[in-house]
Amino acid sequence: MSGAARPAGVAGLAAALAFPALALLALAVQLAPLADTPPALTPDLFWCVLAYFTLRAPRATPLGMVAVLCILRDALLGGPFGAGALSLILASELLRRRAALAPAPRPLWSDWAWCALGFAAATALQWALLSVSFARPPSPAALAPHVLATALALPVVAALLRYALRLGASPRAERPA
Amino acid sequence: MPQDGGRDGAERPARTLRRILLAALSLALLATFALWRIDNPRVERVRMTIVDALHPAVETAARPLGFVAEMAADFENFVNVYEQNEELRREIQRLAAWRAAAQRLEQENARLRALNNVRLPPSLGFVTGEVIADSGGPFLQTGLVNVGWRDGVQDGAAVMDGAGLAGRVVGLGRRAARVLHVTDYSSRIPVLIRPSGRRAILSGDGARAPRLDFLEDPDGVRPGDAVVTSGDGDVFPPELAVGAVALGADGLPRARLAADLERLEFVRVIRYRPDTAIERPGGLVRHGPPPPDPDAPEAEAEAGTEAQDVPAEPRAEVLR
Repeated sequence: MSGAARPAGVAGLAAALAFPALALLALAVQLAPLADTPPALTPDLFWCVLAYFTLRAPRATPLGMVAVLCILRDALLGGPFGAGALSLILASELLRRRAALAPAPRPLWSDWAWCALGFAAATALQWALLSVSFARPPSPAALAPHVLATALALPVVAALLRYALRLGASPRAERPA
Repeated sequence: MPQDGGRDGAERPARTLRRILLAALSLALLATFALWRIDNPRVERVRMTIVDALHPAVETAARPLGFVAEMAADFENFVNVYEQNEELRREIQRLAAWRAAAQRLEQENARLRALNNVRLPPSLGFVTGEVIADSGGPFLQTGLVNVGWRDGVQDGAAVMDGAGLAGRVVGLGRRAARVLHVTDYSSRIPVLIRPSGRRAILSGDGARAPRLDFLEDPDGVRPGDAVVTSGDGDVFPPELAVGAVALGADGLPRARLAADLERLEFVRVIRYRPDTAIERPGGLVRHGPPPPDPDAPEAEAEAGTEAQDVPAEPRAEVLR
């Protein structure tokens, strides 16, 4: 656990500074015009970063900052303005509740499953909002690859943040007193 | 236990405050979404203001990533050079046939222009911009280009790559514009099929080849027929190349796009002023309210200054 190697305050500060920077970096990667990559197969890296920090370093993700970043994401990515931010904020709150109710140690697969389900729920909410407002959203079959790609990217992003950047708490560690 | 009770007591107001904030935020975002859905211009303006502010950072971040993507594409091209050579030979054969057709059309076009000299030619120019960002999501297929209203771009303007129509401008900032691709679910463009002259609506449905809806007499349309913009509605100029008719796997007529939306790098944003039509006396040379009564003494004084108020039309390059 990072807290064992570093004082908890330093680790928390590092996570608090790293979260917005990494979330913006994830947005930049998503925005980059990469050839031959259909949008449906592009994972939502922003969600991967947000979900990781919400579960492993919840204090680094205050509601205000999450809201600002989600609105920035909506503005830059060009999705349904407002609906994208709302769905991601609600999904991150779901994960925050999960982190509070089920303290570490937690099985890795359960964290991964909650993150994937959270993103699926956020996507479904956007789809529902577009449908009830008489827009023409993509079919659920067209959205499924995007959700799947994001679910597959989650462990990769989590491993990178945890083992390469040493950010966030280990799921196996006891919750600090 | 007492300590836990004390902590719970301290946390409860914070939790309640958080819930209130979350509810307020949710309502505000729902309201924003509702405004966005009814095409409130302020919402799009706010969005483009954010894009304008972050545009240099996005462009800077996209450059190294684009470089990496280009390197990967170059390597792929190098591996597939033999297949590409074969494909190019076939393409040359196809283009030779098109060249003959183009020469014939050019002659026909010249004849028609000679007969059609009672209308003023539309002002058609373009500005070239670089695609700096993709949408990165499945809900909207859009891109950001680094030209905005300071470059003369207008909301709704047609956007083309070197080969054909790629989309239209749906959000306009000072230095950036958002382009809705023709493949997007909400894209609808009136088109014309050549040579039959039948009209249809090009409807995006997320697929690479958009549907041709409301096609007049589909039996008279054959795969390979050219699809061009019809100019109906005076939003797009007529005769912009869109692609060719193809039959989709679902049996529906579709348009195989001439533009390569997956490799958009530089695009032309068309600056178009629709053809001037003579609809009423004086409409050709005079814009604005109807002329005042010349007998009135005040009208004579105003008439001298009115010509200066007409804004000068910006010079634009002619689209070839």
